[in-house]
Parts: sequence; C-alpha cells; structure tokens
Amino acid sequence: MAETRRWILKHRLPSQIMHFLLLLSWFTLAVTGFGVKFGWVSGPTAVSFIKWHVYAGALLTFASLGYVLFAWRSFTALVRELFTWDRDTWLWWTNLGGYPQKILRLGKPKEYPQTKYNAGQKFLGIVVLLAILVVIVTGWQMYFFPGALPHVWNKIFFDVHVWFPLFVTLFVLLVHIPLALYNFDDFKGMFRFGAGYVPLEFAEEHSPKWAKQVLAREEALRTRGTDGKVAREA
Amino acid sequence: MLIDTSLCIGCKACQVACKEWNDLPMEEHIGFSGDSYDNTLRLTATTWRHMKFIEQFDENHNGRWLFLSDSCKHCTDAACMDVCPTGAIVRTEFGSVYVQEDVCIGCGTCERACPFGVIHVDAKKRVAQKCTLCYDRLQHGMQPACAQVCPTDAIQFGDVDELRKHARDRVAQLQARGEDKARVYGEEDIAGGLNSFYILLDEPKVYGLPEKVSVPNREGELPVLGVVGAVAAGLVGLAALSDARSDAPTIKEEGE
Repeated sequence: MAETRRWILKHRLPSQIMHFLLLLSWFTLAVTGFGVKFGWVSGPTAVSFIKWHVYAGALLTFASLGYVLFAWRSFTALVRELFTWDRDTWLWWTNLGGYPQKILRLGKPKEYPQTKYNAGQKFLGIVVLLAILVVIVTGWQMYFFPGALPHVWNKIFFDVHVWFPLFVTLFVLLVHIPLALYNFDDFKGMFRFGAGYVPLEFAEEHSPKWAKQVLAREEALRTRGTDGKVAREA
Repeated sequence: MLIDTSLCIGCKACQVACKEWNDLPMEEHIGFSGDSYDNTLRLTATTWRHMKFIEQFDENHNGRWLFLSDSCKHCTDAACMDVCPTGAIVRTEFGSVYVQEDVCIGCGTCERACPFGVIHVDAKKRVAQKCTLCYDRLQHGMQPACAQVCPTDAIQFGDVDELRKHARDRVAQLQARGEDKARVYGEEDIAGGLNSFYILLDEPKVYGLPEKVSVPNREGELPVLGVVGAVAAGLVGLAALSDARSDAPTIKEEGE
C-alpha cells in the first residue's frame, strides 16, 4: 500500500504566477540591460537588447500592478509577512539560519523558529519590492520623459537604475537560487503545475510558527464546521 | 554630405579643419602609427574626422592608394539615438545627429550601439562626443568646416536627395571608366540610409566599413508594450480569479 504524506498549501496560484513572471522579466531585463551597459553586445544588437529590455519592463510593471490590484489579499499578506520581524527573525541573522553549518556539514546549528518565510527571505523580499518600485519609476521616466529632470537627477536615475538591480541580481544568483535548490521541496512547491503544496514535515522544520498557525486554524475549522467565514491564508 | 573618395587626395585638410573649428586637442600617445600616413588611427572623443589610408600595392609597387575621410554618418536609423537613456542625442533640423552635451550623462550606451565605432565618451568631460556636422556653422548658413576646406570638392555639402542623384551619376561615370567596383555606400540598406554617405572605389570591407547595417526599428513600440502589459496583468488576474474559486484544501493527504 502506498504511503500517504501530509501536504500544506504554501504558494497560492497568484503568487506562483507572479513569481514566474517576475523571474522571466527580471532575467530578461538583467541580460539585456547589463549586456548593453557592460558592452557584452554592440552595434544593432545593442539596439535590439534595449528594445527587449523595454518589453520586459512592461511585463514586470504590469505583472506587479496586476498582482497588487487583482491579488490584493495575496499582496497584503505577503507585505505583512515580510515586515513582521519578531525576536526569532532577528536571531536568525546570528547564524544565517544555520545554512553555512548545514551546507558545509559543520554540525547541527541552533535553530530559531521562523514564520512562513525566514529572515533572509524577508530581507530579500523587502529589497526586491523596493527594487521593483525603483526600476519601474526610473525606467519609465527615462523612456517617456528622457532628459526632463535636472542633469544631476538624470545621472542619479540612470545610475540607480543600473546599480541597485545589479546588487539584487547578484544576490538572487548567488544566494536565492542556490538556497531555493537546496530546499528543493519549496522550489517544487513554487514551480509545480497546480497548487503550491509543500510537505508538511518540510514546513514544520523550516516554517514551524506558520505551520503551527495553519494547523491550528484548520483544526478550528474542522471542529467548528465550515461556516465559510474563516479567512483563508493568502 | 557626400564624400567622393575618387576625388580625395588624402591631404587631411578636412581632419585639420575639424580639429581647428571644434578646438579639439591632438591625440596623445600615437606617435608614429605605422599605418601609412594615418596619424589618428581611429575616431575618438577628440578626433571627429579620421583620414584612412588603404594601400593596394603589389611587390613591384604597382597599385593605388584609397583614401577615406571617415566621420559620423548621421544615420537615418541612428542606433546611438535609439539607445540614449536621457534623450541627449537628437536629430537637428538639418537631419544631422547631434549630442546635447548639457543633457548627456556619459553612460556610454551610445558608444556600444554605434555600428561604425564613431561616438565615444570623453574621459575628462564625461560626455559623448562626435561630429556635429558643424551644427553651429549650419545655423549661420555656412558649410561644415571639412566641406569648406576640401581642395578637390571630395566633400560636398547640400541637399541629401540631390547629392544622392549626383552620386549615382558619378558612380556610373566611374564604372564607364573601368572602376568596376565603384559604388554608393550609404543607401537604405545601411542604417536606413546615411545622411553623410560615400562613393567608394572598392568593397566596403576594404575600407573597414560593414557591408550591411540593419538597425532594429523602435517605432511602434507603444502598442506592443500595451499588449505585453495587458497579457501580464491578465495572467495574474486570471490566477487570482482561479484561486478565489478554487476548493484546494489547505492541508491534504496524498500518496508519494
């Protein structure tokens, strides 16, 4: 008889779609933007790169706007989660969640129970939210109102548009993606076709406070009966 | 502007006039170039007109010199203008491509995009620099300095359509005289047409010029942006709608 396993819904469809569109647009923007800025391409190819850079910018802008407008509950739940920092969130930084020790197999690290996202993910999430806002504002200013600002602000807008996303892209390439692959259950949950379930034991290990909260709510629903009025977690 | 290389004698009066009128400094660290009589080697932020010498001699010293007075071609499809993030590069009322130094932030994107290696960022001034087609002279009814000074009228300034007609007639004349490879360089297949174009006596690659230059058209981007945006927002919207109607349980049990 096949073994059954308990799964918990971590990534709802709007978040999955938004994450995918963000991934697609961000990497297109990075390759095309840095490709021209740092001279990886030249001549008419540079013009093509800028053209695709603008298209990817539209993808990022309207996917983000769509997420805020149409998936408002997902968006507000995400923002609430990212900006909720309790004592354990701050303590996570003392050993970076134990990842260096775990990856380098240097013994069992001290664990600080986290909510749905750990401190590192919250930090990246906040930085990415800010980065998306910054590139949208600076990018469209350069596209629709080029040279409209005083000279020093034109330079600042361009430099911020280049260097802030460069930092974020490096962080994603060197930290976010490797750790996402390291925590492969979460990776699969985000990218699977269909609802973004992760194994319950994975959630209890990595997001114990959140898993406990969800289980308690589900238990309350089960014992009270479905009255359709309990708020669903985004 | 038409540069008829069949009339050019390589005197470099154009190169000197450009430097003089625009108050451009000499190139440092070139010395003896070792490349025929070339003393500038390439277009730079401080060399806006570069005289190229192409020697075609056999071992018996029979052959010829080809000369090319190289400069900004003021392309119809100007790649530098297409990529400039601040709108510093504009097209003037004379059809030339001009860098507004007070707007330019020296990002260097134009330098990467130019298919001819014309435009460069000045390391000291931190702005992009290239031939202006003597915009200041044109505004006062004068010719560009290079055209004014050319002793053989190899550089001719005037209405582009009239110059193109004249160029085609001249090429026919040259071909009738046995110059089989004579051609107009800078018709529409080169960056949509060059406003500063050439009569060459050999293939473009001999002069170090690209055979064809096709710059992607950036007109009509706005409707595409609208479609992309609508699709992106629509996808997220549909996902939100689907999620709202979904009865997927928060906790489920399922086989491995």
